[in-house]
Amino acid sequence: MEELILQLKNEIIETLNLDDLKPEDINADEPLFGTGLGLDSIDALELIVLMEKNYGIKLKDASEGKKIFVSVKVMAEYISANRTK
Amino acid sequence: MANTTSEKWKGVTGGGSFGQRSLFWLFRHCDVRVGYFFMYIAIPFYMLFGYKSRRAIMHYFRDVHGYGWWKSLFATWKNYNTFGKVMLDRFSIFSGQKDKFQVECDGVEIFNDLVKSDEGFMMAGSHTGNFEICGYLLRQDVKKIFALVFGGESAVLQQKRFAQFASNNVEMVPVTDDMSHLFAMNQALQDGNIITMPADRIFGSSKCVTCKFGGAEADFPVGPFSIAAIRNVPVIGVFVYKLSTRKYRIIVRKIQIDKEMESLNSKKRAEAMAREYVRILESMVMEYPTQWFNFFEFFRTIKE
Repeated sequence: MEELILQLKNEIIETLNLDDLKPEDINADEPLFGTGLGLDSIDALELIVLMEKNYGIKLKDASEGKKIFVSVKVMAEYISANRTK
Repeated sequence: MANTTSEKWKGVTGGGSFGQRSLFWLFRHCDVRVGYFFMYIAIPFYMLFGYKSRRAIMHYFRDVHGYGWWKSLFATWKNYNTFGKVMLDRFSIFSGQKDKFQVECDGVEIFNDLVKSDEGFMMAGSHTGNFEICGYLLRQDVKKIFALVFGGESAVLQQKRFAQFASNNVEMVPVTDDMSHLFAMNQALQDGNIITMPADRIFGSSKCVTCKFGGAEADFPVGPFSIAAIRNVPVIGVFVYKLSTRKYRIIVRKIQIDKEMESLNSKKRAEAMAREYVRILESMVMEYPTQWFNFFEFFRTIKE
């Protein structure tokens, strides 16, 4: 799981162009939206596409996304359980 | 001179449900010019009492177009008149009178080519002219159009729009806090459909680019172009301007960025597309100055 969390942090930094952040700056338990990383709705779309392209996970609706995009740790757990790639 | 952006758009379009119902009733039975007549009476009162919007439009003419005070005042009156007519035309069309309007096309082959292709694409609009009726004017029955709308508008207008648009292959997607609109748009593009959204106002995502626009500058949203960049789909700018009582001109332009920018990440591509869109929008606004309908302090004076 730790390996996947690190990989996910790197992918988030690259995909969202968070150039001033390093993986160790991201707390795996901190919220992705609002406080914490402070992502917004466009970043959410980037994450939807990231899940699809990198892990073969196609999120169908907003309620599903809301449960998954809580923190890097929650995302990693979901990916680990549902990935097809 | 305008130098404040504190009065931002709140995401709500004005007009009460009763008034809107009355207009739908009126245009089912009367010519749109009947509406124009009543509008001419109302405009001076709007100008007199709508201080904030009048001031914002005066600033627009002075800062963007460099007009003097009197010319700005006259242009503001003309702007209000045109806005009133455009709104009434919209109600007239939604009431089923669309065949009474003529359309002159410029660049529509770009739209037609994209419709024939398998991939989805995005139509960027603005609060100039009468973008909302493009779903009628650009007729096609190959792809479904998903129109992003802000949730603050009245239920009556949304229902009427939905009823009219449904028969024209258009589905409305309201912007919601739970981000379900993002899933809908993502799916629409994946399925090879069309999404339309306004690309001149910042709402939802705060990501923006600051662009010079005429003699002033303003922040423009990157969000609409981010969606296109993330999904790697083409974007067209669609502009619909009123030429006369019964005639509109529809202009389609492809939003193209330099070849060398195409290999950049989605953020950089989205910003480049936003700047290109603003460049085209600026040229349109210079040609149709009195069809600018952002009635809030949109621009900042450029500090020399």
